[in-house]
Amino acid sequence: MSEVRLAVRDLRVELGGTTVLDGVDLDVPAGQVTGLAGESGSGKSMTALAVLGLLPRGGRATGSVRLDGRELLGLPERERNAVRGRHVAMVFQDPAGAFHPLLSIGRQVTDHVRHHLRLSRAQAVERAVDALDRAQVPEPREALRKFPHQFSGGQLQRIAIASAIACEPQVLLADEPTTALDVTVQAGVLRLLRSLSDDLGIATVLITHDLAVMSAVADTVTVLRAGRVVEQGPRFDVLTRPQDPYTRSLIESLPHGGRA
Amino acid sequence: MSGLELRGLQVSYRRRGLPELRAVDGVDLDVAPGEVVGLVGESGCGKSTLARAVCGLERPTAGSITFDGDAVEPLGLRRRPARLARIQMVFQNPNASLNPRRRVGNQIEDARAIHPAGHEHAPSIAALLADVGLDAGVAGRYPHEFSGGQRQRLAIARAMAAGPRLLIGDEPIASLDASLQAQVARLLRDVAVGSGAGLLFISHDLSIVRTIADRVAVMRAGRIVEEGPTEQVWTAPQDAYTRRLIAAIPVADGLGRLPEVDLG
Repeated sequence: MSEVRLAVRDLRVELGGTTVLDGVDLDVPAGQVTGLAGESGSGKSMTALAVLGLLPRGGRATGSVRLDGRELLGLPERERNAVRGRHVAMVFQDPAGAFHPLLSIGRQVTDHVRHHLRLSRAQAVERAVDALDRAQVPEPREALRKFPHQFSGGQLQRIAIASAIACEPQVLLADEPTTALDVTVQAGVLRLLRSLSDDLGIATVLITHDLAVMSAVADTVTVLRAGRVVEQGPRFDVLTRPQDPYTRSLIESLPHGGRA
Repeated sequence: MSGLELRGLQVSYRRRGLPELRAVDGVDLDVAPGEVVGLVGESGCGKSTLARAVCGLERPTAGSITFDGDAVEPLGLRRRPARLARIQMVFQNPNASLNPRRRVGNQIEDARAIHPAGHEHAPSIAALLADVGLDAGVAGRYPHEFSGGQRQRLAIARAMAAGPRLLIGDEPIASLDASLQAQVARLLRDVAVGSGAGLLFISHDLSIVRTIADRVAVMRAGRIVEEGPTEQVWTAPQDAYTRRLIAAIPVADGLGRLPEVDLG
């Protein structure tokens, strides 16, 4: 068993008087893809946002979120900022919304690198080129001079992933990273995410409502419903021998009951 | 000939400083009454432009669109002739297609008013709601009081209230949770076929289309690259692009098989 990078224990989140997460436990080991499944409103994204300390206004998280043993909940904002993007990075569903439309890709992929790692402009550019190359963005050096609208959705998502891994984070939170992409483009991005865990040892949390995507890349699957964990286990067990009736209903609702 | 007939359909967009973009480039396609045809393709292949042309929302640059033998004219400022109001559309995003400020019963009522059998003989709101699995009591509510899946059911009920002979679903399930997609797709098929209408179901997701369509057409760069009975296209695809599309679909078998990537 690989080393657990991120350990979430009894995570509770209250938002405007309602409990949106109700005692979530999650271990995210290095070199693995930890899947977080569930329908809209089940609390998948809220779990990721709570880890990063990015809850909507009025949200309050209790419990424990440890990164390599260090408690993140309750950290002062300054120390939080030193973790976000440096040790724990995130990739969102909509790559077009993740970039500022008027700033060059180069600016957006190097800013946080220079800030977190205190690198010069030239050093940061080299790092960004490496990250883009790693994410298989064609012609990385030219890409840095372009603007977001000059890329397709799939390319932009690869750039967002490159940006996320540029500081060599221990943990990558990927929230529905392929939901907005075409199926042929999705296949490439899933392979990329898998390789980040396999080759770089990144502890990845993959959030998706699509159990077929989950089956393709995740090592373990945690199923959330209404803020609670209803099922948790190795991918094969959860998908082929679900214990919880809710998980079973999710699988049965797939075309052909999930079977090809 | 009854039903929808597209012959050599071409829709182009003029672009300033750029060559003309031929979004739909010579498409032949038929949808008979009571038949479900799946139109599959990826972003930018022209499938939505085709749907908009069939509804009269785009003007074809060449070719013809006929419905029950009559030409479909592009929508203008005049009231649409009744025969063309029998083509109804269900859009991708029910949040945008339902009016947020009117009760859902009233919105369905509007569509009943153009039912060809006359308002009195159109199916009741309660019956329409029952067909999509909703309770008659919800007619007095507003769209925001429903979930995403329920809203799409309401959009389907409203489309059916007009007594369509052809229903077009343009990515009608793309904004829904995976667990709802197959269910809503089947519902759309059932209400369309049950009333004798044809269904043109447009989606990027062949794994869903496959569960409801009688025939599938695969579209790429404005052209249909393959067309045939659903099982044949799925199990013995002839075109290289269709094969690539199918290979890229992940399967929930728990085996951790990464979908194929073809860089060709």
